[in-house]
Formats: sequence, structure tokens, C-alpha cells
Amino acid sequence: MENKNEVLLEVKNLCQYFKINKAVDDVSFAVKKGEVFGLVGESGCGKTTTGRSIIRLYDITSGDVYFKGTRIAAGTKSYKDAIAKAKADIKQLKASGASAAEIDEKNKFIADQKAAMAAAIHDHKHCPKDLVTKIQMIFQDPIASLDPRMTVRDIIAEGLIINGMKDKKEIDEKVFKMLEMVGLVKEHASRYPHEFSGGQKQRIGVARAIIMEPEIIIADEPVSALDVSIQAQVINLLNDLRRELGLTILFIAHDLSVVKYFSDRIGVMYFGKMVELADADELFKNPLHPYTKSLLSAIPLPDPQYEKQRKRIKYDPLESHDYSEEGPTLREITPGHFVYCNTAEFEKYKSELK
Amino acid sequence: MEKKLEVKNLRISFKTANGKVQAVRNINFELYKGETLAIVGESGSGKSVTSKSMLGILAGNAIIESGEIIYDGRDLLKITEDEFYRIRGDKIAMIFQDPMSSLNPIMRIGKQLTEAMILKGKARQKASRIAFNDTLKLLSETMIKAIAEGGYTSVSGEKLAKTKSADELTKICKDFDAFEFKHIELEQAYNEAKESAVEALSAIVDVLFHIEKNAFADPKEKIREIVNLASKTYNEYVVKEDAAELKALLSKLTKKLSADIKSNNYTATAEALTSIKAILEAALAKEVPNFFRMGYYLKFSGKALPEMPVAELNEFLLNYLNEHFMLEFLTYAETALKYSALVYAEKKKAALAEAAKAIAVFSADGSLDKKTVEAAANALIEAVEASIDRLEINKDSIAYTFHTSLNYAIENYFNAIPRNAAAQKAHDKQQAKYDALCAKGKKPDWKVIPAALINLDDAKQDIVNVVDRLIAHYEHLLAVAANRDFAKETVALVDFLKLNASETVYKVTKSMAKHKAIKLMEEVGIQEARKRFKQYPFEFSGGMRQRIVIAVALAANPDILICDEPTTALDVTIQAQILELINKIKEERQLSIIFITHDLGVVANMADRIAVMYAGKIVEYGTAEEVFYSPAHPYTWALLSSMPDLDTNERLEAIPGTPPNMIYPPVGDAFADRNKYALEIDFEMQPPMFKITETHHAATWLLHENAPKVDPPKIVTDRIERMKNRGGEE
Repeated sequence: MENKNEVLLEVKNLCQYFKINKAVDDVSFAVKKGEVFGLVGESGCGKTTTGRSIIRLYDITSGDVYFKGTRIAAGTKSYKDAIAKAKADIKQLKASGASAAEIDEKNKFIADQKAAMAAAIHDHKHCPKDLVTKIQMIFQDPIASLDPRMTVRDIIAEGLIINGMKDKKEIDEKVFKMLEMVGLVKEHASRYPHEFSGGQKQRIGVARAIIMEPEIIIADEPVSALDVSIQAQVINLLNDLRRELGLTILFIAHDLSVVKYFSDRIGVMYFGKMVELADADELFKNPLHPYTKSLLSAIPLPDPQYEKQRKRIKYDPLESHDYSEEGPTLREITPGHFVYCNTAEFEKYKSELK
Repeated sequence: MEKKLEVKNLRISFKTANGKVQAVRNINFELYKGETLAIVGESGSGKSVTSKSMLGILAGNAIIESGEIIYDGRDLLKITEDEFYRIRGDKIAMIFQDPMSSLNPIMRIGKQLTEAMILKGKARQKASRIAFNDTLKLLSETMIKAIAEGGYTSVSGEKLAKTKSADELTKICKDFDAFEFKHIELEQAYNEAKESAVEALSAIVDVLFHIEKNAFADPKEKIREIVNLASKTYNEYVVKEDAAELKALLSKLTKKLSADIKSNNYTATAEALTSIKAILEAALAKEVPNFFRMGYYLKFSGKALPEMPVAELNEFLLNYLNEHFMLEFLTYAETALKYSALVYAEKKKAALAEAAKAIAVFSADGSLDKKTVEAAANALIEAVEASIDRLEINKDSIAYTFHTSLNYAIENYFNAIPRNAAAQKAHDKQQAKYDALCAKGKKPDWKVIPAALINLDDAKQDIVNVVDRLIAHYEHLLAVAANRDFAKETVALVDFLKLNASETVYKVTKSMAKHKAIKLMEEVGIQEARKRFKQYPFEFSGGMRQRIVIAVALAANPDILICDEPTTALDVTIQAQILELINKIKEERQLSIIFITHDLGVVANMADRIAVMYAGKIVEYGTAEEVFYSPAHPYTWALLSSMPDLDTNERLEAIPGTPPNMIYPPVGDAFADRNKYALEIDFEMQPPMFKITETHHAATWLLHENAPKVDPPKIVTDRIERMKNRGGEE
């Protein structure tokens, strides 16, 4: 953690469409080295899709993902759209009899876009493999994500073997070290997943992720399938590992108490859009976007008296916003605090903070 | 408060290849009407097993070793599958953790939602009619007997001046029957109109809002619905004076809409809707007459209603009803109740005498003789059955379930003798095989399963306990008999009759069911409910499926709702929405809820009382405030400290290790191994329930007077401190 502000992972204008369904729509954020970036939102808002798009489990529709300054994934839709629009413009210009210079300019623009698109496709195809192994994922369901017919050793070592490691002794050593690190013992290596409790299974999932010595881990709801007492074990484990290994974590969850406890910065997503992004404390202290307010007001706390008084704020995009004149964009209200809003709302939020 | 459900000494084991797993070990609790009881604990603590046993859906290898679950005068552990059909889903509904296991994959969602409503609606109509007729018949018979034997006093205490013949008394009851159904007819017509008006109004408000925001989607559908609803609102006491105007507005509405759709400007529609809205609002603000009184007047006076304002009319009808019928009816009903109470008090005394005799037989030394025991039991059961006062509305659960409990206990005892012999034999055989292998120098890779023997003395004691409980209960009843408030009980009886009558008439039609289902779907947060009504379960996401399951459970309008981790898979906003919905329905219908979860935040929101379970036992129970603000059991501390809340910064205190293996449950406190506050005695003896306050109990030796003083972990005390401060601010 030499440089706190070094950006490790950057997502720019990420779009992921499934046919007409815009699962993720124009999302941008950056994860700095050594921090935990939390991603929250209701189910179906695209937070898991974002995580999966980053590690190239899906081919992204449009936008770029940069990891350590290298583009590891890129989509082409934005270029295609731009080209199509330019071509239409040319037709119009020709019809209205515009000068050749104007049309040339457009043609040049198209050529530029085509070159950029070719570069994007090239980057996407030739993404350096050793770089991508530095991004690892922990999955939500520890039972479903472990092959029941592989021993724990095989599960943990699979990544190493795929990456060409052949020395059995070295692999075993590494596996044992990882097991120890996640709080299991050597003897567990020869067992099968069904012999473990839920918490232990999730530990195996963590061991499998960290054996590749990743720099960033994408943890997709790693604790929501676990029992309370076990949740604490896994959260503590991730916290310890983060300190020991200097890991950066993209933490995806819907349990806001856990996200608040664990994350440095939090992004709130709603229907494929990032609606608010801020430091964890700042977000919980000064939520600005009405959806964030609604989300925060829904968190149940283990306090009966507070719960009896708690009023949930409802969020209805129609009621809360008037985007008939100007559409919203993500704007910075105070340093580090971004909100998805238009100019009128921008002014309103600014005055709210004062 | 009225007890809805009682669980007593429940013990459940599961037979597995490795031996008996003791899933639930002797738990007791009650559920009161209109309260939420939360059961909290880790997975494997037996919370789901407990709730499943209430519905008779335990897995095939489950053995119910002892205990009773009493609901509505029946023991749910001993009734037949046929009887369960009437209870499951209808009276006791359950929301399961896994939505896919309770939805039919090849049936449309809409059908699954309405199916139960329609079927149960029919069954309920029938059952209510039977209950109404039986109770009224019993009442009239008791009245006749009471008057015939004479000497019973009226409401105010004076002797009945004028007595009536049996025929006259029968007629009184018949009259009640007749005009009660007239009343319901009137009231139902009114309710239908009123509900339509309320719904039409909310639909109009919604449409106006969308028009204003320029986001009016599928207009034709919505307007058709409004027209439909609004045209059902014509009734004497809803839309009456403005009926013609409303009709005119509605007939033009669709035309206006089609013109508006073409021009994409909805001002004309909005104007029309606003005037409809005004009419409906005025209609809903009207005063409502008392239909019960009106029913009597219309049925028996032979005259039309007098023209007067509603308040005056109510007064007039009340006087008429009291003068001609109601006071008399109440007097005779009360007389009947008093008479019945006296008669059955005598019979209860007889049953007590019989019970004393039976106890002597059951508690004889040595093994019992089957014939004598059965004879004594039959005599006692007969006496007890005869002593049940069936005019009482609150069923006396102990007396009602007495014969099943006693027979069950006796059967258990006599079955245990051959069963023990067989188990011992099987065990010996296995042991011999094991020893033989060992003698050959081989180490078998299997273990000898210890024989599952039933303790005969315990079984005998169980029989005596059943009778003892009856004796204590009857003695208590006889002692408090003098304090009974018969006037109140009479009113309750009449209310019971009214309720059953209204349920008899309430018919669920297909369109009603569909309408209700769509409304429920919207309530649980499913958008475009109308479209999704026709879809199959696989077309829904996990969270959506869970909402459907919740809607299905609520559609049956149950008495008791068991929620087994209903919102664990949902995100916070939807979770909050659904919890609010459950709470709302609970308030409206006085629903009793058993809420199983491990999320303490959710518990704090929902629970009136909390039971914390660990390893098949309840280790602490109390009101929500008590358990959260002054937890006493180390396991509760551990649960509270293992999850972060919004202000937690320190390291969480995870509970080390895993729950114990319940094939060999620990001798002492089951939590001792994972408990850093464990005392030596925790490993040797199970702690009893210590009483902290009237409602707060915990089973931990730390509460013993000789125990060292131990404070809860800092993270817990800090949090309680914070909560108290927060409470002070607000």
C-alpha cells in the first residue's frame, strides 16, 4: 500500500445488455489500491453482473475495464452507435447539399471510430492472461461453487495447475499454506467439500481465490448464504487477509450493515445505474439520492424500540425526479461524493449539504 | 390474552444410519392471539423442525418422542392426515425458506394463487354453517332445559318473571337465525359497493398522478378497471343521489380516452376522472347505518324503513330491536350459559373423583396390567368427555385433548415393552458381530449403534402426568368458577354466531379471487401483476418467487402464520416492504405469527416475544425489549456480538467451533464447549430455566445465586448503551 491513491481497477461507461434488458447501463467507478469498495443495491439491479463483467465472465456490450492501467475488457456498442449516427448524418448532409469539407470531417470521424473499435476488439481478445489471474472471485453459494467430486486440495490447486505449475510438492506446500491462512488445517486437504460446514466451505472458496496471489478480489455476496455466527467468522477472515496481504476487494452485497462495516467506499446501484457513490461514513451520514435514503431507511437494526419508530421512506422514480427537461448524469457534489442527478437537483443537493 | 397454540414438552428425534439425532429436546411455549413470537438460532438448532411439526410435515425418519401441540382443542401431533387437511394452509399457513419447493413448476402463478382461495372458501362456508347450526341448536336446547328446571336468574339478578315454553324458546333461536342472515345480506351488498369505491378511488388517484407526470402506461386497461370498479358502487348508502351523474360520466369515459390516446393529451380524461373522484369521495364520507339492527326490522316489522337521518335511524332501530327481541334473547342465552356452567361443574367434580381413582391404578408399583389400566382409562375418559361444556366459545384445550393424550401415553408405555426387547436384541447381535471381528484382529470400519431404549418408568410417569395436569386444571376452573362474567360470555357467544354466519354467506368467486390475487401480488411488490399473473414460476427471479409464496400463504387468510426465514434471500427494501405487509395483516386480522429467522434486525422489527434456541432447546425467552436490552444467556450475547450493525467498528466476536453433534448431546449445557464464560458445572449438569422477570427466562448457570458475576462482552454492552442513548434522543 505504497500509494493510497493508486487506481487499481477502473470501470468506464460499462454497459451490459442482455438482448433488450439493460442489466448494467453506463456505470463508471474506480477502485483504489488497498481499499474495499462496496457495491449495494436490490436484487436485479446489476451489481453481480458488474462483478462478472469485470472478470470477463460476460463479453461486455460497451465501455472499458482497466486493470493496473491495461485495458482488459472492452465493448464495441458505443463505437458502432457513433458510426451509425455519423453515417446517417452524412446522408442528411448530402441531401441538404453541404460542403465537401463537412462530409470529409464526418468520414474522418468514422475512420477514427473504426480504428478505436479495432483497438478495443484487439485489447479484448488479447488480454494478458497473467494479469487477469490477479483478479479472483469469491462466490455467493459455497455449496454450489465447489465441485463435489474434487478433493479440497484439487479445488484449491486447480488454478495453479491451469497456469502451468507442475511441481506437485510445491503445489502441496502452497495449498497447505493457504489452508492455514484461512483457518483450516493440513489434514483437510484430502477431504471432499460435503464433509465441511457452511463456514468452512466458504473458507475453501476464499483459499481458492487467494492462492493465485490476486491483487483484487471480487467478493459476490460471500456471507449472505451463511449462518450468523459463521458470517462473523468469514468477515473476520476477509478482514485479516486484507490486512496481511494488502488485498483490494470489490465487495458486492445487499446486507447494508455488513457493507458499512467492511467497506471504505460504497456505490449504490439502482436498475443498472450507479446513483450514488461516496465514502462509507459519508454515505450513511449524508445520503443524497432519494433511492439511497429509501435504502438506508429500510435497514433493520437489532433494537426493538428503534424498530418500532422506524419509518421507511418509499422511493418512486416518477415522484422523486423530474427529468422531462434535462436528463441526469453522475456529478460530484462534494469531493468524493457523486450523485446521479440533473442540474436542478445538483443545486438542491449542494444546498442540502450546507 | 387468548392462547392460540401451545407446545408442551416437545421432543423430536431423527433416525439416521449413525443413531438417533435429537433435534428438539423438550421445548415449551405458547403463542397468543395477535402476537409474533420469534424463534432465533443457528441452522440445526431445531427451529425449522419445531415449526414443521406444527404442520405435520416432518420428514419420514422423524420420531416424535413426547409432547403435545395444542391448537383449537386438538393435539396436532396426534390427529389424522384427513383432519390435517382442514388445518394446513387454511388455519395454519407456512412461508418456506425455499420458494421453489412450495410452488408447482407446471402451474401458472395466477392459478396457484386463486386455487386455494376458491377451494378453501367453499370448505369454510360449509364448516361455518355447521358450526353456526350446532351452536344455535345447543343453545336452544340448553335454554329449554334451563327454563324447564327453573330457578335461574336473569341478567340483573332478579328471578325470571315470565317463562317461556319450549316452542317459544325454539322460535327465538330460529328468529335469530333468520334475521342474522338478512343482516349479512344487507351488509355484504354495502361492503361490496364500498370496497369497490375505495379501490376505484385509489386507482383514479394513481392514474391522475401518472397523467400529471406524463407517464401514463397502458391507459385502456387501467380505465377499463376503473369503469368496472366504479359501476359496482351503486348502493343505498354509497353512491345514491349521484348515481345518474356517475353513470353518465362512466359511459363517456372510454370514448374520451380513445380520443385522448390519439392526440396523446389526457386532459379530458383527467377532468372526467376528477369529477368521478369527487362523487366517490362524497359517497365514502356518508354515515353508515347499523345493518344488524336494520336486518331485524326489515325481517319482522313488515314495514319499510322510516325516512330519517342515519344517526336517528340507528337509534330508532336499536330501540326497536331491544324492545322486541334482543334483550330477551340475551337474557335467555345468559340463563342457558349459567345453567350449563352449573351442570358441568358437577360433572367436572365427578371427573375429578374418577381421576383420583385412575391415578391410583396408573402409579402402582411394578409393571402395569394392560386390562386394568385400559378399564380405568376408559372410565376416566368418559367422565372427562361428559364434563366438557360445549357452549363455551374458548375451547378448553386440556379437556378436549385429554383422551388422545391419555391413550397416546398408555399406548406408548405398552408398546415400549416389546420395542425395547427388539432394540436390545438388535444391539446385542451387532455387538456380538463387532466383538467377533475384533477377536479376529480386524478393526471394523463401522460403529455399534447404541440401543435406543425407552425408559419404562418415564413412560409410566408420562401417563400420571397427563392425569395430574387435568386434575390441576379442573381444580383451577372450579376455584375460579364464581368469578365468571356471564354477560361478557353471552356477548362473545353472539359474536361467534355472527362471525360464522358472515363466513357462511361469504362466497369467493373466480373473479373475486383473481382480483384479490392481483392486489396481493401488488402488495408484495410485484410490478405488472396483471401480466405476471399468467406466468409460470420459472419466469420469476428468486426474490420474486419468494414474494409469490408469501402472497399464496396470505391469500388463505390463516389463523396462524409460520414464517421460516421468509426474507433471508431478499434485499433490504423488499424485506422491509414484506415485513410491513405481514405486520399490517397481523394488525388487521389479529393474526398470530411464528417467525423463524437468524437476522436479529428483522426480529427486533417483528417480534413481541423472542425465544432463542440452541441445540434443540430454548435457552432464553422473553419480550423483545428484554432479550435485546438485557440478554442473559451467553449464546444470546454471542449472537448479538457476531453481527455488525451500522455503528460497529471493532472486530466482530465470532462464535468459535460448530454446534454439537446431536447424536450424542452433551451432558451439561450444550453451548458450554463454545462458551468462554462456561463454568465447571456447565459441563456436568444442564441448567434449569431461571426466572429473571415474569416474562423473561434463561437457562444458564450464570444466573444461579452462587455463580460468579459475569458481564456480557464489551461489544454487546456498548451496543445496548448506544441503543439506549438513541432511544433517549427520539
